[in-house]
Amino acid sequence: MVEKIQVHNLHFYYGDKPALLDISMIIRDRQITALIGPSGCGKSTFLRCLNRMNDTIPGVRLEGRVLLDGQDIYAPNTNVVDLRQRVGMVFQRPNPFPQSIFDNVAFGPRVLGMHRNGNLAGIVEESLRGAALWDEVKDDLGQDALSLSLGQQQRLCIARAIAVKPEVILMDEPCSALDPIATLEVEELMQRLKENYSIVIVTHNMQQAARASDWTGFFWLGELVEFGATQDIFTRPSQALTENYITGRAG
Amino acid sequence: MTIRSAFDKELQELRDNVLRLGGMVDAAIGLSIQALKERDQVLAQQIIADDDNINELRFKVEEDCVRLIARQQPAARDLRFIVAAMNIVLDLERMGDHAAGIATIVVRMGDEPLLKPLIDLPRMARISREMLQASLDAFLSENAQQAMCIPERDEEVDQLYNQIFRELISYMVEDPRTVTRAMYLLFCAHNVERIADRVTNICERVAFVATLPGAWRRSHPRQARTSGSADSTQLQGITSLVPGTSDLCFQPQEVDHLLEDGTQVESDRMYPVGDGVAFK
Repeated sequence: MVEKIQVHNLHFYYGDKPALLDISMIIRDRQITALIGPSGCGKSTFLRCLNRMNDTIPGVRLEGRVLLDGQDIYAPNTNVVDLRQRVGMVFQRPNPFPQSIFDNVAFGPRVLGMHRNGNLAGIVEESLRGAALWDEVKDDLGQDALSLSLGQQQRLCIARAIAVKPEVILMDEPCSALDPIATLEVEELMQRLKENYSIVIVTHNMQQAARASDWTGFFWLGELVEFGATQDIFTRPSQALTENYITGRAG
Repeated sequence: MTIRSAFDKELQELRDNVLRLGGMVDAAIGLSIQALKERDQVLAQQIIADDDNINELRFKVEEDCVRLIARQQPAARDLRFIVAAMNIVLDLERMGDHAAGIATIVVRMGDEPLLKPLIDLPRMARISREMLQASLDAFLSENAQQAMCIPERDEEVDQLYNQIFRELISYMVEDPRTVTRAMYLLFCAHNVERIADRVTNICERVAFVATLPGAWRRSHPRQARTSGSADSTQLQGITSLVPGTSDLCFQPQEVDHLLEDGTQVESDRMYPVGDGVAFK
């Protein structure tokens, strides 16, 4: 399996306070990698290191290397806009723009000038199909995105993320605001998306990690305690701390 | 108190019920040999009737396991423990059937005198019961190493079985009128031999709870032993000589095993679910 992202000895500090300690991990191409751990363990911070979303926070410091297809994303010559086009993100609460469905999905392609090389409507349709939302909204793409259900809004955000043709999609607790059916729809969608994208998902729902991911990393107090195939982590983890956490006896 | 004390309490109850079932089966085996030795048909009838309690507890444990999986979403060790408990109660229940099988033979034998004094058969049963008790101890303490020492004793049981087998064959060859009585004893011995085999399954499950799966897969003790299966084939030949006993034997099947990584291990003799001597 191709190594999409390699993280080597990553340390991250908010001011003097260390948030991530010596994390090394391989994110494999076209696989789903889940990050689990209690609140404040550093998993979201780690996720945001993968497309430099932490850059805007004052006083942060990072050591170590994050390689996307072998290129260091923290190298001085990195174009951060390009990086975030290649490594997209979906957040905890669906956050569509207060615009039409069409404009939401078309936003990224317009900003990046992608519409000049092709037809924008085609990109929008392809993205909405990719996010399994097309059939539900195709008859009224002009309707306000905020009129959709929360589950549909989250799939719209996924459509918006894939509209700019990323290679990696980061998902930060994408289902925590959704009901069980909408959650399963997003998980189902992830299985389809992984044919074309690498997905990294932060989740508090361990059953979700067990159901949906191929690889699981367990974070605890800023450290990556264990990383391995999901089926191993959930049936025979090698670390006692992992065992205690996933069986609900720690954290 | 952990944050999952209610779940822990249910797991403890599950463990207690497996041990309780083990105790019932152990007692049934002991009593079945006693009934055979003393030709006590009342006791034998009681063992057969009490087998229902064993079956009932086995199904209760299975239901508890399914409920825990559905409601608690167990993972890792908890999940392995629950899966092991389901397998262990299945083996225990079948061991109970073997004890009831011996009791059924006692009833069938009626007042007919024993062909020979019982010496090796009670020894087989004693060793099998010691193995069972040790396996339940290992299950309680979740001690995989202790568990994986127990199957070695299955060799002793097999040797005694082979001895009994040869001896009874000589009786039958010398005097065909002894065939029926010899077959009764042979089937009793066969039931005990199967009990010991099933103890090794329990030991493998204890190892499965505690350690990596390789430990229990690769140490499968039956692979080194073929005498039992050879006897089974011979036994089938003999049942054809005695009217009404053909249903008392079973046909071992060759099954190829595939490990998770796709490698094929040597063919092992697996027994169908309906093995053992069904006297019901």
